[in-house]
Amino acid sequence: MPVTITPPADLLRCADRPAGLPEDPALVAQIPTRARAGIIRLARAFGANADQLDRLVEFISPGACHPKPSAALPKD
Amino acid sequence: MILLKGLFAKLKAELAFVVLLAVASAGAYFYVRAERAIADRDAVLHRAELICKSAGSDFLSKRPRVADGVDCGTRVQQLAEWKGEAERQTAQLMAQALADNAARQARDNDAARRAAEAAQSAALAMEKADAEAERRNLVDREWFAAVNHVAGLRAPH
Repeated sequence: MPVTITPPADLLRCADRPAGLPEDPALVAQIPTRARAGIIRLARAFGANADQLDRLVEFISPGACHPKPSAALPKD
Repeated sequence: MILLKGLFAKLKAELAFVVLLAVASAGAYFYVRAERAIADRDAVLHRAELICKSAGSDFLSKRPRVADGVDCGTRVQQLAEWKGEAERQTAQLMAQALADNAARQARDNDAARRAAEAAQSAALAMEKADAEAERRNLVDREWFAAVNHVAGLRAPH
């Protein structure tokens, strides 16, 4: 009987990545520098957190978030 | 010579007593040995009962026509086999767990490296797009795309 730690399933959900900002050539806006910097900070933190969560989930259940790259690796 | 002869003569006269003495000392000797043998046997029996009790069995046989100690011996043998098996399986589990952990670490190192590389290239692109936005005082498609890239998101369809 191998000892395994199984977190609750809701802790093993991969990062939620909703649709981002619209990338429409017609969409042009003026955003003050400070607001732009804030948006960039948010985006960077979101990306880092989502990547970290995916890594954590993948660490516990391999292939859960990125089925393709992990499929080639040996599954335990 | 005369002395010896006298001794023999005396012995001959007391032959019955001498024989009795010899028989009595032999008897005493065997008695002592028998006593010691009995004591040893009792001690060994007691020890065997203790050993069997600690193995969770009885030395005295409970089944008819089965000698004392047979069931207990089987039990002890089973225990020894079980211990060996348990140790073997434990070692196997430990090795498996170690290998699993190593594989996990390697996989995560890989993922961490990929994520760090992607984040770095996204940050570079973001810096460039933001400098451009600063210069033109306008954010356009490039800037939004760079933000999405930094956040790891896709534009809505």
